[in-house]
Amino acid sequence: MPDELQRRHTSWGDRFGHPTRFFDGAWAYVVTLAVALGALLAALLLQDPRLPSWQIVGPLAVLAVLGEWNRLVVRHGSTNVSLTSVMLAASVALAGPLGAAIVGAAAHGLVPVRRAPVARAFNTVMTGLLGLAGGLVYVGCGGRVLAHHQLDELGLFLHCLLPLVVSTVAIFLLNVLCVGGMLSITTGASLGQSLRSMISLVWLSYLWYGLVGFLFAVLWGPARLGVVSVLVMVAPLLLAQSSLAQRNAEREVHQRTIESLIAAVEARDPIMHGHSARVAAAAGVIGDELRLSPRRAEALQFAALLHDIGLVGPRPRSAAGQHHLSTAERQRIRQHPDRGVEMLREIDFLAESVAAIRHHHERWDGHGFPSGLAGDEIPLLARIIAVADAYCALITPRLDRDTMSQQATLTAIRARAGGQFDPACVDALVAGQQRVQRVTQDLLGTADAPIVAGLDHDLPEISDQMAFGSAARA
Amino acid sequence: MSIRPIPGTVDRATVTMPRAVLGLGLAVIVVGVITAAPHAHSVLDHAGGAMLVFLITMAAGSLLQVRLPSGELISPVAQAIAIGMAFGSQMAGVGSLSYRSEGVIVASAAGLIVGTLLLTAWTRRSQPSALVAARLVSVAVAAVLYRTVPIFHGSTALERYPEWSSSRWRMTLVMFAIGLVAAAVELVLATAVTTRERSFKQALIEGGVAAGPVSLAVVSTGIAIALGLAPLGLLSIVLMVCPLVLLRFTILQEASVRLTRRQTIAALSRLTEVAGYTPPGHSHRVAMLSVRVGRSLRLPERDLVVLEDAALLHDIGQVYLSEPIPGGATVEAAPRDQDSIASEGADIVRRTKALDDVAAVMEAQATQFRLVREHGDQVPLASRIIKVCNAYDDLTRGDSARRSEAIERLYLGLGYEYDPEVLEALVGVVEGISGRPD
Repeated sequence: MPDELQRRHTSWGDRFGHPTRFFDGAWAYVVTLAVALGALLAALLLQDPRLPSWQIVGPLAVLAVLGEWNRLVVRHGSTNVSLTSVMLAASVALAGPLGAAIVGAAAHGLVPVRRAPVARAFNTVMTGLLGLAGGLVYVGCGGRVLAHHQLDELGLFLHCLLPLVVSTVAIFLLNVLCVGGMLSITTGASLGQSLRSMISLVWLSYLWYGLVGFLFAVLWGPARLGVVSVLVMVAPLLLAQSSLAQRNAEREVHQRTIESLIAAVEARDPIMHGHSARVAAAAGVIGDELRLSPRRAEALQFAALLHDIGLVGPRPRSAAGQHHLSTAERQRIRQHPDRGVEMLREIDFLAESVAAIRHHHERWDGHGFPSGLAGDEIPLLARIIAVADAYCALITPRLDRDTMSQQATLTAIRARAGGQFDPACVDALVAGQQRVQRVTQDLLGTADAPIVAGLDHDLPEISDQMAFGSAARA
Repeated sequence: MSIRPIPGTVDRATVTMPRAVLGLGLAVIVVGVITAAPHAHSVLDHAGGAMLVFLITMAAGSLLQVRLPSGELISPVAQAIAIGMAFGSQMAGVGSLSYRSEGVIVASAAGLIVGTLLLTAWTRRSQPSALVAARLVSVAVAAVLYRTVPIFHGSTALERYPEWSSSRWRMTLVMFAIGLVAAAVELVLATAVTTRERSFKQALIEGGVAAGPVSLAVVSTGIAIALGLAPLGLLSIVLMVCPLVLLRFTILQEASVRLTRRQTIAALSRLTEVAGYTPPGHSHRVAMLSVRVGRSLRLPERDLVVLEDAALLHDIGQVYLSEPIPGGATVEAAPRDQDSIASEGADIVRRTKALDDVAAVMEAQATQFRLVREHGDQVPLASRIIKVCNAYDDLTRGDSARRSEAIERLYLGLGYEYDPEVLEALVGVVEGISGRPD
């Protein structure tokens, strides 16, 4: 989910289905934005009818289209160093509001990529609006359009660099607002949440766009390089872009490496088979409901995938249908969080993941293990995994009893809110119940033999036995 | 106790040919100082302040050293500033910059040396001075070609700068050409410094592929600094260098994500041990030994990384065996079982969708050497290394007392089971290991 947002931050509709009806919410939104753009353009032209020089705007627009093409086709939208944003900033300084509006609209309007009409229209109108608004802010902050003014060093600093940085911040905010609005219309995502996660992900890059756009503009105009300035600037930017893409790819490889190695080892154990992947999926939904930041969501994924790693290993034989823990089994279960942490010790890991793995069997009432933490003392991610863990254990079909329905499972878990589980996490599970059901059933469907006999330590009744001894069950 | 490999740090071995390069760098400095001395007075009057700023920013930029994923140690920011100084032609507030190449050489020598000293003090690790010398020689080449050699019908490129003011693109192309020559010089010298016994040509190509794009970015930034001096003055140095600083940041991030991933592989490779399939410490020992053998067989850095990952994971396929092998030693297993462990393991790793090269090495790890000989089967060297190292560790269990017995056993399979070249390298490596105090 965070990745999706990251990829969508400068434009919308790159990689998922679009509404197809001719006039619906999305189109209405696009038309509204277009009217706003038209009104601003008209007001601007009435005040100052000079058009920007095509010798500047033409090449800039071509470059912006190339930048967008590079982002969509070469990088598959997987980067957050956007050459288009750099070109937009450069055209604000070089050509002013009108020129920047043309360059921005051209980037998305003319990029030779097949896109849904509504996505193309939206992005074209939006970037046109961004260029125009950015240009107005630039001029408003004392920025001088380099095509018309000669500036000395101090002048370049005060009347170009500083206004341009302010202008890119304005572009950024407007961008986030437009895309967030579109997301809330098409997917129903909460505007506030989209805004928060987009801002936390990309605000820093926009300061860079302002700075790099300035360097571009200086080489283009005052240093008299013209289009050749692209030659000088392109290598470091493309390289940074590819290095970032590499980093993102490497992150995905990391996650998939963990997934497939865990899955391979779990495959040997009928009870554990596919368990970690299901818990990770369910925990992901709960985390979304609790509005975790992208960073914490990532830490949650790792922790959920690895939470039972300390259980891998020879299991004391226990007969199918047995409901009581032997002492050896009890010992093994009690130790597995610490054993897991011990195994992962050498990884420079998100520290939060490790804490979550250590404490995923703590109970809200303080009767859990290994540390007997209670309530808020338990790390949030551990509380989430505890709920996801129990949910997945309950819905897994088992030989020794009838499969529990979704409703019965949720009722059983809700009954333990405030006892075994954090009530907030239980609420989040209930709120996201449809998504949880979908993702876990998908994974159960793909597992080879999910029908399980034997003792599953994640079942709530086992947690009670561990906490209160077997007498409590009677 | 055996030595544990620290995953992700396949470090460069000791350098062997740095002295000549260091000498060359010193010679350049001496010549620079001698020839610069008579003009020092007039130059310092004219552009002394600018040169001082270049020197200071170069020293500061040296602190932003970074290691590329392929192992090359580069100092992009300092290098770009030095090239910017070599190409500096006109500056706001000063007019034309007429300092000579000797001035560039002396100033960059001072800047790079001070920077290296600062870096040494900061990281508390000695820095490879021969690499600094290579950088300096490269800057000297750029400065001399731009400022001293009359490449245009009796006039230097610098003298053409004002004439070409209306067609700046020509100047830009000239600077690119000179900058690329200088970058090539640095590549050759740096390769000479860091190559060990490996073939020079192969190392040069690898270095070019790995460091080429960054060199291009460094040269571009140097040109941007030089051309930005006219409108921006000295501010140009600080501003134009920013994209390169961003680049360094992303390279560091990339490296840290990759390091975490490799640490994860190292940690998860112990799963087979914890689950009771293989003896404790086996995969780590095999990985460490394989890397050492690979290095002594001059495997390129990139392949060593793949080799290490594949060796760490080489037994993961055992989880699909119906019955664990007694003691987890695949050397005792039937060839068919060995092959199925190899291919199951490769399948698991292939599911990550990105470690196909690791999977390919794992897949062939059980192939007998006679198949290579008889049928010309393509078996990667890395796979042959893992086969030998795995067998050695299965036989010794990390106990060097069983070394000669194990080697004797391996010699029985020489040529039929094991690659003689690899076995020879292994013997060399393990005898080196036992020879040093542990």
